[in-house]
Amino acid sequence: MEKIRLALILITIAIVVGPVVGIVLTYRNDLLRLIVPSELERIMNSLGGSPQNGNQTNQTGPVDINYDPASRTATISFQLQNPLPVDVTLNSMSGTVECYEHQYPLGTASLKDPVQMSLGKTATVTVLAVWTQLGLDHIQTAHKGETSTKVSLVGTTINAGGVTIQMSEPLSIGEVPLT
Amino acid sequence: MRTKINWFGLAGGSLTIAIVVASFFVPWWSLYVEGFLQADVSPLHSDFSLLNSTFTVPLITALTIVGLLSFMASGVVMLVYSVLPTKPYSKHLLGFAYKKPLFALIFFVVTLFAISTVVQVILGFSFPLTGSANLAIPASLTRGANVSFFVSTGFSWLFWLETIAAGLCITAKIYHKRFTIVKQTSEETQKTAEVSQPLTLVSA
Repeated sequence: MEKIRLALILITIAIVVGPVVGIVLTYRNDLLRLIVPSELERIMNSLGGSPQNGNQTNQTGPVDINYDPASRTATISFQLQNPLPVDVTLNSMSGTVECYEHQYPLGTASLKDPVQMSLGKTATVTVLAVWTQLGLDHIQTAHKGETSTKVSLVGTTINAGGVTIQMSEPLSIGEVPLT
Repeated sequence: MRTKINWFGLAGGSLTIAIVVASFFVPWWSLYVEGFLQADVSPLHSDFSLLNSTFTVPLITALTIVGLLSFMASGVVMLVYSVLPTKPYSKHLLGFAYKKPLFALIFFVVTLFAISTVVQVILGFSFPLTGSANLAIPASLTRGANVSFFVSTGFSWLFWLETIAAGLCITAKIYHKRFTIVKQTSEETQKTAEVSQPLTLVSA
């Protein structure tokens, strides 16, 4: 009877100690890997992004801008590189278009259609910007005679996948024609 | 002679082994953030996926192996005990087997609560242990940007099945007293018979 009791105690010890000691011995040269595996570190690095590894958001200036005076709508298309290590769908994007020089709100902008961004690829993002009457008044008074002005998107809210990101920093759009 | 079986132990042991097998396919608890994070966890098997890339945490793998072996041993020993509840060593078998599913359950729930609390204290946001919520990560962690995501969590049917298994194992322990009482009663009857037998002979 005592032998059975002893055997059960030994089994318990072996079950608990065996796997833990085994894994610690396997990773004895780099114990941090026990908690932070290299795969996780790789994913986190790709999330952080750096210019060196080319994973930083690569937004180029406007590639195509069309302005419709009747509807006061500017259609702005620009290239955006997927900064994430996976395919992602840009579901929505919105914000206020602001005059870069005077920080004056010119109108609102929103994503025209959801954009599928493949891993490491650049996709064309089309944003519709609707100028308000006050925005137009500002352009006509503060930028009289100018053919274009630099604008930025402030309070930008992006929904990609299931994650919503509200940017605190203005997003530069570049020079937008005024006529 | 009628075979004595601890039916609660038999059910608890069988269920424990069934849970070991099912745990490879069904997690006890899941956390899901669409397209970003998925964690399917149990004390027996865990899967993690971040941005659709799966990864394993070696320390958690070691702990799940401990859980897996403990559950298997507990289930097998409980089954052996259940068909031999009156043997002199049955008490040891039962003592080894009945606690493990309960301890695993307590350890699992306490760990989930602890992780939730640690995340709340260190990172400043908390996730529900069951249900859905829109979580906002503090701007201090995201270089000023406000990042929010919809998170869904929940316990699966396997978790509730495990609570039943743990309950059956505890009931088996309580029910074991009945075998002890029966054994003591039969021993006392046997002793009484041995004492009264010579008297009968004398009187005859």
